[in-house]
Amino acid sequence: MFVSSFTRVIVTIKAKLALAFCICIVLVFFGSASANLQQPNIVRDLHYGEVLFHFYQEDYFTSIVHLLAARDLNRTTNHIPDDELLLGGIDLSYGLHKEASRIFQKLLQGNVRDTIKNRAYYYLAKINYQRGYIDEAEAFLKNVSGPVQEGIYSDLKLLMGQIYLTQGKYDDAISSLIKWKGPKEYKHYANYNLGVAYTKRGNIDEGIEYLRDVGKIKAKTESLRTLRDKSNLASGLTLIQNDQPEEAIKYLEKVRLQGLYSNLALLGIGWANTEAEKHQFALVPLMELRNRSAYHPEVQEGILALAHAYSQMGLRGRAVKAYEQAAEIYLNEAKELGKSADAIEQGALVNALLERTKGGPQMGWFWSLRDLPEIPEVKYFTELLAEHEFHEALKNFRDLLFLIKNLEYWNENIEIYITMLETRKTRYQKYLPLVQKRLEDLDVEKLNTQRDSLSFLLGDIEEGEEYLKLATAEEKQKLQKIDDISKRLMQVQLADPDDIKIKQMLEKLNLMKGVMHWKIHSDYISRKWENKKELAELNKHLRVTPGKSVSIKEAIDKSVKDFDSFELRINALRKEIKRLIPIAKRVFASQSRYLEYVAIKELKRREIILVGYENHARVALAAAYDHAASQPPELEVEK
Amino acid sequence: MFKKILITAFSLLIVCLSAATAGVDEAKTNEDQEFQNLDQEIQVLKQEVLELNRDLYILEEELLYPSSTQVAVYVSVDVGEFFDLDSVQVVLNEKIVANYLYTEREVDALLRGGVHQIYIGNLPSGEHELVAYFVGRGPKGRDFKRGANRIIDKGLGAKYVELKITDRTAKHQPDFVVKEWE
Repeated sequence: MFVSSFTRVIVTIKAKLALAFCICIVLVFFGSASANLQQPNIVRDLHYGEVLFHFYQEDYFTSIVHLLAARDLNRTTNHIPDDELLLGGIDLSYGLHKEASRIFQKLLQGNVRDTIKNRAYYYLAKINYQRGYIDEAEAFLKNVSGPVQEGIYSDLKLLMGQIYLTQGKYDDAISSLIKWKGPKEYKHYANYNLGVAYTKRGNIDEGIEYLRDVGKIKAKTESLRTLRDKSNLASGLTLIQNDQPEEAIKYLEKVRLQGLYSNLALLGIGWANTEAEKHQFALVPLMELRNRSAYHPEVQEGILALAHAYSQMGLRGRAVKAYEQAAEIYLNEAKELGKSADAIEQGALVNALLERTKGGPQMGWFWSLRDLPEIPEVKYFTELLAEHEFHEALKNFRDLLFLIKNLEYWNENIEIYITMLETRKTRYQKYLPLVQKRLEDLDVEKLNTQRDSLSFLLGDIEEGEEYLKLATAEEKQKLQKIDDISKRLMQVQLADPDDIKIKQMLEKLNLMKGVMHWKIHSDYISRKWENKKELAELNKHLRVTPGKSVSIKEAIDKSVKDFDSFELRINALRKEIKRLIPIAKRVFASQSRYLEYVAIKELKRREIILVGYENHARVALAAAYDHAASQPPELEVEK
Repeated sequence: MFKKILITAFSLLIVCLSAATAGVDEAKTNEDQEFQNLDQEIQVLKQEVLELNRDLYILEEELLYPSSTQVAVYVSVDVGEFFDLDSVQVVLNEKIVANYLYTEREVDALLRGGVHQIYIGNLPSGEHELVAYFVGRGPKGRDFKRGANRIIDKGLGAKYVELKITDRTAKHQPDFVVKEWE
């Protein structure tokens, strides 16, 4: 009934599927290359390792700040010139491609090892590739010669293969990728691209073989699961294009129902079944597709395809109903898109994003675009996120928001440093005269003489074993007391020599004296050792005292200069903060407008397409009514 | 008749889509002019804020932790096959100065060669006792807690101490080393 138009639809769909397939190739490879940007490093400077700690957590801002500071303070001298390469690499990750290019170009002009030059060429190629300058990227990679660092080699070959694929040089892509060696998880990306290169070259069987292997991997991460889906999708779409619909279905059915490519896979299954003339099997995937957001082109196609399938099955009543529903869905979705676009124009998107990013200065940096929940005010936020231009605009929006918060944080906190400096200055001015007086009074010669006397005294005590000289002041006092009491008692005893009480008391005092002597004598060795130790400690201090007094005098002079220098620096920085805040706010406002513009532009584009689809559905509906009117009534069988 | 209508509909759809795309493209050209320099401005601003933060970072360190008294303690992991790190506690001169619980993301960064600054503070020159406690899971997933100590000699310049977790492959045990850097 609709044979010729249906064939035309299939051709259109195949062309669209092929286009989708091309887009898949570009994206998958790009992901793998950026994931493997840096290899584990042997750390020869702690500060270099500290930068890596932040970089590996994707905290690019902190890692750049710390690396710039470490380089200024000569704390990465054992990593020259790798530290410069690292800086360029992080700049690239932070979206500073211009600064990254400058760093790599500068490195190439210097007298550096071939491995460093080759890494710089690799990064420059990557920057150009990211920015869409494919031929320039190829030219940079062609400069690579001599030894290449092991970690970079596999990335470099992957990028080379990707560039050739984009240029349509499939033979070159194959020869670059087929010899590829690298980490196991990246091997899957290389094999995926190899499969794509073969199929693009026309070697369908070889291509499918590679894609099939990737489509069977045991994926532990979401990115690998997505790659697996993409491989099965690529196999399925290639087979549909090559008129093997039944074989294609086997691959398309392996794509996850909730994954990024589920819409395209469901549409593919629908069309593959239709092409294999198994219309009843086309219904299930197409009905599933119909229930999804009509924002997606695959869903829009699927709604019409469902009506066509009913038509092909001779279920005219259902076909009419499906066309009616299609027209309604397109109309409603177009209205919703229009509403969302209007809401964005009124500032709903920017306001909702600002609301979600309230918090401390670090908040802005750490919210991830992947984890940001759907914003109710803007129904199509998740769908928009999948658009590259919107995604990039949102990343800059996020970064600018962070910059404003960072500047506002410093604007408040710089005052603390000013107060701190003033407090220190006051304290310094208060204590400086005291310290200076003590320094002036310091007589090292006198102290040395005192130390010598003590040393002689200790020698004498040791020689004569005069343990009583090492008695404590308290012990000496007690012994003196015992002697005094004994003397007085002996005087009393002279008057009454037979007094037993006095006799007993004298005996007791003698015993006490004996005990004390015994105790002091017992402690003699340890006391002698303790005194010697203290004398040694004193010697140590006296030795460094002249040096220390000189360094204190120098520190006093330096502090006066430091206060002035700190004051100048703080004031200059405060001025810079105040200069940058309005600039950041102005750029942020422009970026907010740009973000809205990108979103509205995309939604309007989708709205126009939907209106077109709606018109088509209504025309098809009218044709179906006409056809039904000219035919006898039919019996519909429930499937 | 029906076939004809459908073909016309598709033709119209294609025309309609092309026209729509052309319209969008035209709009894009005009609007894009307005935002053409925005990316440049953002890059310049980012670079200026980064440089400002670098200067503030250096100023903060020089003000709060002058090199003559600065002591910084770092944690690093080498291999880490026999030990899954949970937390580290640093005790300086019998006083707890740092307690840090590591996230999975941070442990991953350590395993890839990153080094974490767990403590920065001030100490006078001379000898100081540093004790570090490492908590995590050891061989066979058992709870594991080990300590390592060292008398550090603080000179006139800044003192950096690395707490290094390594593997003793011969004994299938983790090892904890305290290393001093000048």
